[in-house]
Formats: sequence, structure tokens, C-alpha cells
Amino acid sequence: MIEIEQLAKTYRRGDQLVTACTVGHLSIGRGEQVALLGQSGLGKTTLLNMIAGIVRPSQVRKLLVADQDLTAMSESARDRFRGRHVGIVFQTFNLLMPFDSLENVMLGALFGQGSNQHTRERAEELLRRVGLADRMHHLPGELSVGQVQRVAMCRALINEPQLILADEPLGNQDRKTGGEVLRLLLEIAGEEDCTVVMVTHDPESAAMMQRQIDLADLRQAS
Amino acid sequence: MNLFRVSLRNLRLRLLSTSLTTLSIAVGAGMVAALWLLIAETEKRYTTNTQGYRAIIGPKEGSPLSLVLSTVFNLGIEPGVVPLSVYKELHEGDLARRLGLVYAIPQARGDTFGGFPIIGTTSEMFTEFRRGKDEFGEYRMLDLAEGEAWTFDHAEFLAFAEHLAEHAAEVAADGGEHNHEHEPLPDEHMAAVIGSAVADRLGLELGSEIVPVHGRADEAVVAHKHEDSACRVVAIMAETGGPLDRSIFIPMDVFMSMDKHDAIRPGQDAASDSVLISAIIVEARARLAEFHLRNAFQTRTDAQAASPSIEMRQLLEMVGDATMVLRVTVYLVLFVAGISVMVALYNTMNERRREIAIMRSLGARRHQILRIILQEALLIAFLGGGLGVLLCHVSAYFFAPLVSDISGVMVDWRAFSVDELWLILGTCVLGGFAGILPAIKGSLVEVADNLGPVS
Ligand SMILES: Nc1ncnc2c1ncn2[C@@H]1O[C@H](COP(=O)(O)OP(=O)(O)O)[C@@H](O)[C@H]1O
Ligand SMILES: [Mg+2]
Repeated sequence: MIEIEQLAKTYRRGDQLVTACTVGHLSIGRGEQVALLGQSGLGKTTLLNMIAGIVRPSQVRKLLVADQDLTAMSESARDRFRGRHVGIVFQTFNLLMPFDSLENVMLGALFGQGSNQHTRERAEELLRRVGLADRMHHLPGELSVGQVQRVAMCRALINEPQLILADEPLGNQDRKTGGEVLRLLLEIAGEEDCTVVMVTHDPESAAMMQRQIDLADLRQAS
Repeated sequence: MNLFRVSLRNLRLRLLSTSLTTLSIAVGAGMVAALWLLIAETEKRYTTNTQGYRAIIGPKEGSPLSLVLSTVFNLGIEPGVVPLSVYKELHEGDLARRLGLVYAIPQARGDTFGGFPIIGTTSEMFTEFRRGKDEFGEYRMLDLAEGEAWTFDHAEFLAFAEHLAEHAAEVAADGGEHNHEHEPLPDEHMAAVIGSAVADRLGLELGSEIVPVHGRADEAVVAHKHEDSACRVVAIMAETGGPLDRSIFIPMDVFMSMDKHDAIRPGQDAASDSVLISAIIVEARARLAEFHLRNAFQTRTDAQAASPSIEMRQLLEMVGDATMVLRVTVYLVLFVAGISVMVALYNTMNERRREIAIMRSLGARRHQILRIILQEALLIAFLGGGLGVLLCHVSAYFFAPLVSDISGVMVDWRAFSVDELWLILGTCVLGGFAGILPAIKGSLVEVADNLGPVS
């Protein structure tokens, strides 16, 4: 599912080069559920962004995602690829203000496989599944943090993606509700054979995943 | 869910900014629409209202334009008087035969009532005068809504003029020593036919009394009333939508019997000028009769012929030049409104960076972001344009009476035109241009830099 070799992202700050992220080798199989660990500032977010095709690596030998070579793709091709095959959940403020829950999920479809009757039914089904049947027409401001993250999760799943990237999606939520959200995500992803890569600081959440990777260990790996 | 819906929601989210910019476009577009409406109505009024006046024969003093304005539109002051001989010539002369004269109706002006002009004329005004054509090409006459017009026709007028001339000769013969009383006019002559606007504004009905005031209402200081020439309203004309609605017609003999000494200009022959014709309205069968008449009178010293359609065309061209500054100003207002849309949208781009980054992370391509923002500008422009046109007609409804009082142009607030669709299209183009810069800025938002947790 994900094949990475000799990947690095550097930023120029003044006349200094700052390395944001380096990965020697990383391979993640289809349907795997992986927890990405590591200290703050190590480059976890940058890595996810490169896998999503949002950020272009500075140096790369190999970057394959869902059998696609991202290094050979134009920006708009990567946008299309991401919309169609990758679901993303951020740490906070995932939802767009003027849209209700259902519409936010449908935005994922609009920029992904297309907004139609089928995706709409799937959106409603997903929202029901995560317990938001009676919150479909609530605006983000009318939802709790946990509910917002569940909507964001549904949006990431709407296009039946091959890969879900989650960047500390549970944030500062309390363990119990956060754990419940994560359990649901992993359950649905498992059913659909969807790969999950999730950045987390929480050992308990990491323990729920099949595999735990510390980014620090990937740096020098050959 | 589609991109259009996304644009709509974004506009709704920033309702205040959206309303303000839409309103600014509406004001700009409304001003343009109002200007166009005013120009169109002016042209329409000034051309349709001259239809019944093929040519106007008037005194040599004054310009042909002022003769037309005074006779057709009740504007300005009548330039002077035409000798009776010209009137007779138009009826009996060689010229009349050659032109295939349909009518030559005398009009005398100088008195007012309640600010509306009183015009002395003959019954031909009601039986012959054609004020234009209807959509089927049939002539429109001066129809009466109520009552029956007074009668005092061409023949009676000539007889009366004859009598006046004799009388003047007698007065001259005995050196004005004796008091030569006129015989009182028959009661049924003391009558007036009034326009619908006169009836409305002054609250007049059949039987109401009209006491002519010499001079204009705005010259009230020097004006004096002709108490002995009070006329009863015998008929009210059907609405024409033109200046005729603001006219009062009385028989020529009543008009001439009023105390006129101050109207006789020094150096003129009192006998012939006691008739006091201000203008003669002429209709003829001959093609281009107005040009023949103009040429025929070109070299004469006793009268001139004016063609209302020619004069009006020239006037409208002048007005067009004069309103240039106004037009430029109005277009500028709309243009500035377009800029305000651009600035307002551009300023939201900073606060929208995260929102745009989220859409991009969902797979939105740059050109889709561009389209969403461009659509917002277009929507504002479209709504503003439509609202502006509506605003224009609503204000036309309220201000039409004021405009008609000031300029004599009666604006029809229901006169929607195709041009207004073009105006809305034009504002959309303007909106499109206004959206370009914000849209580009929005589409250039970097995803990774704007996705981080909001601190
Ligand atoms: N756009 C950028 N410009 C400059 N430096 C950046 C940029 N993005 C990330 N960095 C730097 O790269 C490093 C890794 O960042 P990040 O991937 O966000 O780490 P993590 O998610 O593991 O906390 C940090 O030191 C950060 O300052
Ligand atoms: Mg991070």
C-alpha cells in the first residue's frame, strides 16, 4: 500500500536548511492499521502530507501510495488521487463552517468520487453508524468536539478510500469518547480493507493498532 | 452538493459583507438603470408627443426650439404673436393647397390657472387635431373622458377677428375719446376643457370655475386675475400621458376678450395684433410637408415654421452631450461598487485560508477553488444587478410625479426594457472581473501551511 525509500523534506529558513522529515525505508501493507509515534517536531505531519500528495518531498527514491508513484504526478493529479483514494482526519477544526454534518461529509464526495445519490446514502449510513443520526443537519458549531471528529471520520471514509491518514485525531479528548471514536474508525476500515496510518501520542490508542512505528527509528534505516 | 452550493453557503456565512457589497452593486446598477430609464422615457415622450404636430407656425422672434417647447410641451414662454394674415393664408392660400392642408389650428397663450397653461383655441382642437397614432396606425384624437367640449370653430373665429379689427379701427378713428364697450360674450363660450392632470391636481370637476391669471404662476407678483373671464369646466380630456394632460383649452374669443393691453408689444399695429395668436398647429397630407413649410417661411419676416420632430432630435442630441458627465459619473459609481466587491472578497481570503486548505485536502483542485470564489463574485453582481433594476423601478414609482413636475417627462415605472437584462449581464461581467484577483489569491493558498492545528 505504501512503499517509501530515501524520503526527505527540507525547508530553507534564512540561509539554513532545516530537515523536517527523513525516512530511510517504510513499507505498509494493504489493510494494515499503523500507529505513527514520535516526539513533537520529528516530522510526522510532514510525512503524512507527503503520503497524501500535499507536500512534495525534497529528495526521494521511492514514494508509492496505492500503487501510484506520487513523484511522477502533477499537483492536480495528486489532488484527484487524494480526493478519490485517501481520507484525511486532522487534529482540530476539520469541518467547514457553513455546512451541516451531512453536507460536510458530502463535500468529501464532491471533491472525491462525486456527489450523487449513492454517496449521499453512504454518507447517511456512515453518520448513523457513528451515532449521529439525529445530528445530520447540525452545523459544526452545534456539535461537541467528539461529534465533530466523528463527522470528519465519516468524511474521510465517504469515498471508500484505500488509505486513511489521521493526524492526532483524538486531540485532547477524554480517553473514553476518544477511544470509542477510534474503535469505530478501525472497525469500519477493517471491514472495507482500508489501510490506516494514525499519528498519536496516546499509548492506549497506539495499542489498539496492529503495528506501532516510531518515526525516529525510520530515520537511519536503510 | 455542488460547487455552486459551496459558493452560496460561503456568501451566507458572511451575510453582512455579502449584503453590503450586493447593496453597493445594486445602488450602482440602479443608478445606471434609472439614467437609462430617464433617457428612454425622455426620448419617448419627446418623440411620441410631437407626433400630432407636423409643423408649428409661430412668430419670427425666438428660436424654433422655444416655439416647439412652448407649443407642444408648455415649457418656457411663448415667443410672441403671429399676424392673423398668416393664419388666413394657411387656410386659403396657395400654400395650403399645395401642402394638402389637413388643419391649421390657432393657439393663444399667456394665461395660467393653478400653474397650468390656459390656451385659447378653436373647436378644431377637439374635432380635427391628431395627437398621434395608435399601435394599429389609427389616428388618436383628443378624446374627452367626461362632458362635452365648447364650440367655437374656424369660421366663428374669423368673424370674431373681423369684429375686433373693426372695433379697433373705430377706437383709432375717434382717438380713443369714447368708451367702446364690447358686447358681452355668450355664456356658453365661458367654458374650459381641461387635461386629466389638471383635474387631478387641482381637484376640478365638471362645473368647477376657472379664473384665468395673466402671466405664470411663478410670476405671481405681476400676475393679475381676470375675474370677469371666469370659465366653467365643461369637459375633462382622457389621459394622454403627455403635456396635453396639463393643458386648459378655452375658446379663442374668451381668451382675446381678456384685458390684454400689457401684452401688446410697442411698435406693433394694434388692430392686427389684437388677435394674439401664439402659434398655429399645422397638419398636411404632403410628404415632407414640414420641410416645405420651413422653406416657405425661411425668407419671410412675419412668421417662421418649426418642425417639432427636427427640433426635438437636435435637442435630444444636445441633452445627450449635456448628460455625458452624468453618465460617466453613474458608470463610475457602478465600477467603484465592482471594486468594493473585489476588495471585500479579497479581504476574506486570509480568514478563509484554512477553509480552502481543507477543501484542497479533500481533493479540490486549484481551478475548483478559483471557480467557487469567482462564482461568489458573480452571484453578488447578479443579485446586485437584479436588485438595482428593481430599485430603479420602485424609485421611479415614487419619484415619477416629482420628475414630471420638474421636467414634464412622465416616467412610467412599469417600463421594463431589454436593456436592463443587458445591464444585469454587464454587472455580472463586472463581478467576474472583480472576482479574478480574490479567486487567484484563494487558489494559491498552500495546503500544508494552513492545515496545522489552529493556535
Ligand atoms: N512549511 C514549513 N517551513 C519550515 N519548517 C517547517 C515547515 N513545516 C514543518 N516545518 C518544520 O519541520 C519540523 C517537523 O514538523 P512536523 O512535521 O509538523 O512535526 P510533527 O508533526 O512531528 O510535530 C518542525 O521542526 C517544523 O518546524
Ligand atoms: Mg504534527
